[in-house]
Amino acid sequence: MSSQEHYGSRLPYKFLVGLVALVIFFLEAPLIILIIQSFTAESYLAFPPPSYGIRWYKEVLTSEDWLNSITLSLTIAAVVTPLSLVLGTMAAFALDRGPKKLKHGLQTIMIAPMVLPHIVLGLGLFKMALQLDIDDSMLAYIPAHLTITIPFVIISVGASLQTFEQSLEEAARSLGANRFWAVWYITLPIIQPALIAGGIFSFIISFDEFIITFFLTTFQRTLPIEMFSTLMYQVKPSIAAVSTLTLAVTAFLTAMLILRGQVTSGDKVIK
Amino acid sequence: MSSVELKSIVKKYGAVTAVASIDLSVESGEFVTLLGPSGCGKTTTLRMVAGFIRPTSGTLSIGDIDMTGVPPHQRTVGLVFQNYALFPHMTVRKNVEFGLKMQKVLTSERGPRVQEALELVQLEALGERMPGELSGGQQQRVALARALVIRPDVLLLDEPFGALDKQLRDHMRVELRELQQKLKISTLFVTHDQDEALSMSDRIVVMSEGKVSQVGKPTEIYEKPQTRFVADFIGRSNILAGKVENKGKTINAEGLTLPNKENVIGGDEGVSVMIRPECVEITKSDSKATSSSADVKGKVTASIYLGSIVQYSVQINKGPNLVVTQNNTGSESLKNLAIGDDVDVSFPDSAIYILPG
Repeated sequence: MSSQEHYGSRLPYKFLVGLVALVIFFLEAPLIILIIQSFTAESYLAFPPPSYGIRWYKEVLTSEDWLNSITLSLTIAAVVTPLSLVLGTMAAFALDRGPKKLKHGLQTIMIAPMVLPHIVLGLGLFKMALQLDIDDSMLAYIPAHLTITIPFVIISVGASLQTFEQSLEEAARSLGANRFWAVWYITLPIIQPALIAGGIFSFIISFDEFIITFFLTTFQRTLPIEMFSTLMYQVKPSIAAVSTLTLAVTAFLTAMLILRGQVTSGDKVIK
Repeated sequence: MSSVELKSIVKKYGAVTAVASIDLSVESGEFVTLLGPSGCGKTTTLRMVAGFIRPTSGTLSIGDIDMTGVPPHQRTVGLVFQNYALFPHMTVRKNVEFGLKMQKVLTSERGPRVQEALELVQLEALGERMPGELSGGQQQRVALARALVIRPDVLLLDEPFGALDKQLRDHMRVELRELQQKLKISTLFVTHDQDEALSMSDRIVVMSEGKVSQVGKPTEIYEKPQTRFVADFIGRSNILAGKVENKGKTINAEGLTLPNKENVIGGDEGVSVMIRPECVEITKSDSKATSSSADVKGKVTASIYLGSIVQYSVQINKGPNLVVTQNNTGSESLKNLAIGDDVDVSFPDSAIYILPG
């Protein structure tokens, strides 16, 4: 009611609602169509599906190719996430506490991979991996993913450190904690929301990464690459089922992120 | 035995000297205040005692042990910050317990000690609260309990009342001083508020531009300032440029003739004479009061009503402009004083203080 009163007339308000609905529809429609198609019982993709079932989910979850690629992607993301958090947090501390003169230059360099065209990054990493003879292996994927996940941690933790009251650390140190324990017991728990955000970002980005990984693989296939190569041969409903599964994981993690943000933004409620 | 001793401590940041050779001691059980305007180096000095800033040169000892290069966590100092710096993610009890945990005090011993500290600041009922749920004064007390529970060699307080409103500040002032005297804990207190310094301290160290201007008891600082800076900074004061005249018997202070009771000689550059505004008495000239000892007359040029006192500017005939404060006792003579009124001005000889140097 209050928003209607605010706009004075019902017409512009209705117009606004319609506009928002339209935008949401265009954003979400492809996803919704994909999800519905994934539950088809037929052997081809059609919308709307003539019949429904979970046939393609069964197929995906019993197919060795799909399971291998899912496992590989999850394994990479599971290694990348903690490494990304530790390295990114350390970098964020260095930028926050280090010499002010160097801060801007260093930050730009460290965040650059985030905005650099991934195809350029992939090409460079490909040449490097070949030289070191580590292509088509975890030794290549993990550092490659780290280059693009670490900037997200640096940004989220860095922002959090900027508003962190450093006298809290000093208080801890005056009470007998050395620098490490002061950070461990005081700073990290307080910036925890930023750490969780950075971790979730790292996981999603690594799990979803295609371009750079594509340069580095020969026989091994991460989930996005398996999806891409399947599409090259045929368009089967299994691809819709895998997409829906991926979407579910990503959506779940993003939802956690958003909920987390709501919980902690009313600060001092952290228990 | 002194709890804290600073010898020729210097702190430079590049070409900027924050603290220029300070000597300072806090005796056992003593309450010492570092008082000065912002930027005078008082907080830098406190942070050097806490160990967060390393002096450029000089030595610093705590409990007669050289601590100059020792990191903060290896010094037993209790520190209370202006913003309290309570850990927002821990309960009051956990906040207070933190220091004991860091110092590896046995778990069984921690409980009673935390309880004791909370009782000391009358917060035993609020142990399970989060800091965000407490009022400013309560947070202040938690910070104090947290600093005291580790039984520090010295308690360091950095403008601890800055964030409180005036009523609470006055209350906490009394409470802190009582607690300090009860525990006989050596305390170094930093403030720019002279009322806090005068009311709480055993000794005050007045600082200006990185140097110590004067060290003394509150009465000495107020009544016998050693430098013009101290005379100016502490309280209101009239400082007049004087010349010794009449074969050394009188001092001519900007046209006001004063007795030279201390027989100062005064070189070519003369002397500075201080008269506190509250020592000066003014009465309306036409009130036909008994002629006062000093037959000085003046005219009121401004008056500021401050509640308990009224502050006047009085232009002395053929003399200086004096700031005069009168207690607002509600007396008629005071109420009737208006700008432009002629007044008789008097002050006892004891109100005349010659600044050394």
